[in-house]
Amino acid sequence: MSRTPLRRPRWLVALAAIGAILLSPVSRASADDNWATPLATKLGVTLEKSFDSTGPDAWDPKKHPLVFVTTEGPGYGGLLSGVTLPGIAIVDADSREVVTSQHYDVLAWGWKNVFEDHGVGVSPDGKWIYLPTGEGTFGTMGFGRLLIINARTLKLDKVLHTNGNPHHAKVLNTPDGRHLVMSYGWGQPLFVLDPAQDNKVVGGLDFNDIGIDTYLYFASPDGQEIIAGGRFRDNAARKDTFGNIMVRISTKDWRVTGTIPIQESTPVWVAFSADDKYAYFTGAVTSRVFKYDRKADKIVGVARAGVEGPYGAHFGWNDKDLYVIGKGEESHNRGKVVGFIDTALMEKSERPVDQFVTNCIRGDHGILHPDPDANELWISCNSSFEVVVFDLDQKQVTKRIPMPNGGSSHSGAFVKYDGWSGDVLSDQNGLHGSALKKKRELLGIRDVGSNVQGAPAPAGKM
Amino acid sequence: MQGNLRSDLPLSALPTLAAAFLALAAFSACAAEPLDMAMVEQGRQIFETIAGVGCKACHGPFAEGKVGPSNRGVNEPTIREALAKIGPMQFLREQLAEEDIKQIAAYTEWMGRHMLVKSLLKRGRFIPDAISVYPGTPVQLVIENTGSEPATLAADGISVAAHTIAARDSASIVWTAPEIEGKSTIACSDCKIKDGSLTIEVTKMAKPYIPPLQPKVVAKP
Repeated sequence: MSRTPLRRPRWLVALAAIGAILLSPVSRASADDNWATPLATKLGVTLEKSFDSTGPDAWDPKKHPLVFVTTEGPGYGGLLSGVTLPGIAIVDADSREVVTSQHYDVLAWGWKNVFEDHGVGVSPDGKWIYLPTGEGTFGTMGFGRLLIINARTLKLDKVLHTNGNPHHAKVLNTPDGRHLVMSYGWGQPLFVLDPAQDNKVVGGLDFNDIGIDTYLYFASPDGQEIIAGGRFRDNAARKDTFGNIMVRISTKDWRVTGTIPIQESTPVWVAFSADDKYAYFTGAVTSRVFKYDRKADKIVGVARAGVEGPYGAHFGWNDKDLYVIGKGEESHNRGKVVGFIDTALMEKSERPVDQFVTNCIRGDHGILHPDPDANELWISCNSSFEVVVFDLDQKQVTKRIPMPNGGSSHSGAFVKYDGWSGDVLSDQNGLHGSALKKKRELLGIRDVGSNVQGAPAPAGKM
Repeated sequence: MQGNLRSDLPLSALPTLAAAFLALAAFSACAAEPLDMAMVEQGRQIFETIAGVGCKACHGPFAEGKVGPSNRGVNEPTIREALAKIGPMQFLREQLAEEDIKQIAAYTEWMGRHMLVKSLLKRGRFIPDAISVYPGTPVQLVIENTGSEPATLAADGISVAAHTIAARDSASIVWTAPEIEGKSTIACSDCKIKDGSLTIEVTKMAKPYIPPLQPKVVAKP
């Protein structure tokens, strides 16, 4: 591992990385038979390395009680940064100053190259950070790795070997009170980890169970189901096909409960309304957004996305205006705008849309700040190597946060800490815990079968 | 000096003359036929609620424009033409009675006679925190409380009653700028951050308000 203090020149970062290669202790990791479960084996997830991640604190949560955890990686698709290793950056969510960053010297393990971290997740209790990475690109190697990092020391705790390059990781709070982390990737179906059980695989299903290949997965606010978008692996099929399906998966028994036909070959994102009634799907090829009534089980509205090649879609605190990140997916991949849709009008018109410029190049995900008075989306910019703060009241960028070493940012999570007791309030899947509860209070939403309790008190090693 | 302007007119007088002309135009608009304020109020209610979403859903809560254009100042014929030609407005056609359209038109015409000035109240700060108004201008001052708690406004030098703005709501203050130049301030008296204020400067340096012209309606499927 190589710690990269703020604003250190790139040559120094490189030197530090080389030093880390030379100085890092020989990994004492080995596959842990106690970690494997039949489900993990079925889903192709194995423990490749484990480490003692204890050590001195890498940062002070008393000084920074609300932080934004994001990635700092190499970049991809011809737009590369000066960073060569997978890494994370922690930003104070109030002052917006970078607190620290850390990179992980996977090249010392013999990797030939590093696949851009396409997401990052934090366990509901704030103890663990999950960083997807690997070698090759977009599943070309047929396997990848998920790094599990101790949030307190920022040292590696585990390296999971997966069937394909892992893509995202995020919180999954289920109705029966489980506080889990879900992940998936290119060629890697959904697998669910339990941080309270040494991050063992406790849920998930494979593509045979689902019946088709799938792309991204999103949990409903009530935690009862996960909706995933169908995926054609072949580029031509994505271009020339005019339909696909969304798949509904129960978090109770990890079974498919239904499918939703959609007039879009490449569905991407799913955003849920806080009242659990609706889900919104972005379609990259048609550049449209679909409004789905979960109870009626039908698409009830369609609107232009307001951007070309939409990726993420996110509500602000009013839960009515949907912001669509114009990444340029399946298109130019150099998007720098945010689309706006008034979802209350989607059943009346296809064009209740507007667009705002962010100049966040290849922005992909927005994470809603957990303070309702902030009402900001923090958007990760894969190719302008920054996080931009988009004020949903002013409809403009009010702050640009350059990545400390010039790397690529890719998703994020807001975590509130009381000492080292953490609580993920918001990630790419929307608000969680007390922030979701607050939103429902502000909107007068009652009687939802939801899971909004906070994360459990921390236990075990950290 | 060009054209038919008199050669003894100093160049420096042009801005003053232009301002006077614009002010005259504004005065003419304001001096237009008086509106039935009962109709205006009824129009406001329809504007905000028709079809469950209101005209405001597309045109903005104060008709300033949102996903649709601003319609401050539009008159009844323009509204009828838009209802006939604009595709995304078709769902309203069966919802609006004849009288409703007249009332909405009264409200949009009333808005057109007032200069819209907006400021966001966010975390105790006003954005923008300073605005300029030409003397004598009828103003609709809108302050949007973006916060999750109510906010109470206190004014100094401007005769408006104290307003408490509910969370994520707006206050509309209708006010005519005095003919005499001067400054007024509005502050939030119960915001957690109290150092922010909105300064309203009445000055002849401000751009005089010109009521909007009737827009040309172009058919849109």
